[in-house]
Amino acid sequence: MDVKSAFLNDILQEEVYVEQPKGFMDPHYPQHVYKLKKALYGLKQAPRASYERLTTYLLDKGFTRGQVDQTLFIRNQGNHKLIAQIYVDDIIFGATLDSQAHEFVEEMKKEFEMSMIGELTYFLGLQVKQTSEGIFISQAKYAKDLVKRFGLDRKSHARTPMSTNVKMSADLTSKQVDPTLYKSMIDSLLYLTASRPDIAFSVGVCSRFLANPKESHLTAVKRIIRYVNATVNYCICFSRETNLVLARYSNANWAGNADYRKRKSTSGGCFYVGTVSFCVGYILLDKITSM
Amino acid sequence: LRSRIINPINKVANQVTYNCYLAQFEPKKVEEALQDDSWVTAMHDELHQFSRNNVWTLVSNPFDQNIIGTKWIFKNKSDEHGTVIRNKAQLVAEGYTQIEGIDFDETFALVARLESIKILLSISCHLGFKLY
Repeated sequence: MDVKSAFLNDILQEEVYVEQPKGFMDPHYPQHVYKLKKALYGLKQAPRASYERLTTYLLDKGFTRGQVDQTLFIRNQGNHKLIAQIYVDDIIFGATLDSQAHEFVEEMKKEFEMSMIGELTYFLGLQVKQTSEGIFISQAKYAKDLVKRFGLDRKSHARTPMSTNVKMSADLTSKQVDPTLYKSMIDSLLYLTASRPDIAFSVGVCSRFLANPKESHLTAVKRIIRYVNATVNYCICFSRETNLVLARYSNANWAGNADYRKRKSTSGGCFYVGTVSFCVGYILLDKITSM
Repeated sequence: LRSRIINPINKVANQVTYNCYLAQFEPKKVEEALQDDSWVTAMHDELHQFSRNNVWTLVSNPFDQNIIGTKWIFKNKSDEHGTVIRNKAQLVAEGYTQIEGIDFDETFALVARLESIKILLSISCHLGFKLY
């Protein structure tokens, strides 16, 4: 569900004056200026004003705001829950009692001009599919376009994103490659990790060389893209048969980093809710304490 | 010879454009847009929306205040076949001329994290409800 012309509805806290629009000056008062009551696109405070108005409204309507994630709103009605997640002018919501979700839409329509797009199918570039088995999120189209953009769609597929026995290092002696190309590849792949935790580690390793990319690094990144090419249709499945047990898995290696004199260790971990990991992260450790 | 062949096509194209009152080009400057009826209509639409939403009031210039410039943005909206279906004129404020502490104090707006959206998906799966 989207809030239409979101910014034009938001009341400004500060006194802001703008010029008269060019071509539409008031012939009698050409020196006059407009004093804004509501936000305009382009104003620094516009997104904030929009968020303020939406939250104030939701809190009035009996929602409570999330303690940690302040864009999450929950309302309890009897034994039922309505959950709404706000993303600027986009709202994802659902209720344990479906009729409450529909009531919520009607409520919102009274206050805001809304465009209802129905069941969640697309959000932030993620394709979402809700079935009786579960929810699937994928970036298949994005992945396909990405491979094509870098001209690797006809190249051979790779079965894994990275070789297990190659140690990446700064590789100072070999030839440098175009840093802009390297950056744009990493940037595109980083966005893909939203639905593809399987490439998160390899992209993370390659992104350490952004400042000074060499041929060996570019080869590694191209391999990731060729792997993506082989697996464009992979998606994350949130199974209906899940629980809400929070789990964390972590691992570390000892001085695995191949750079001379650094020999840093890597620590990584991922968090699971039920059967699906929602967060994957790796860091290079400066120091390591032996147990 | 070439222009002779192209001319009749141009004529037809102009007629089609005229018939649906939509401009096919995107002006860079407001002066260009003001030459074209459909863009003038689009600009009027935008200003009508401002008065409908009670966005602003005309006041005499308070000379001790920073006046922020405005700019017209012209965009053609097309359908999936690439046919122009709407001329959209949008008036935006030149936010870069704003001075912190005078024109604005707080600009921070919260944005949801992907992790929390994924958790929401998990929860909706577990509790078995649909998301909209």
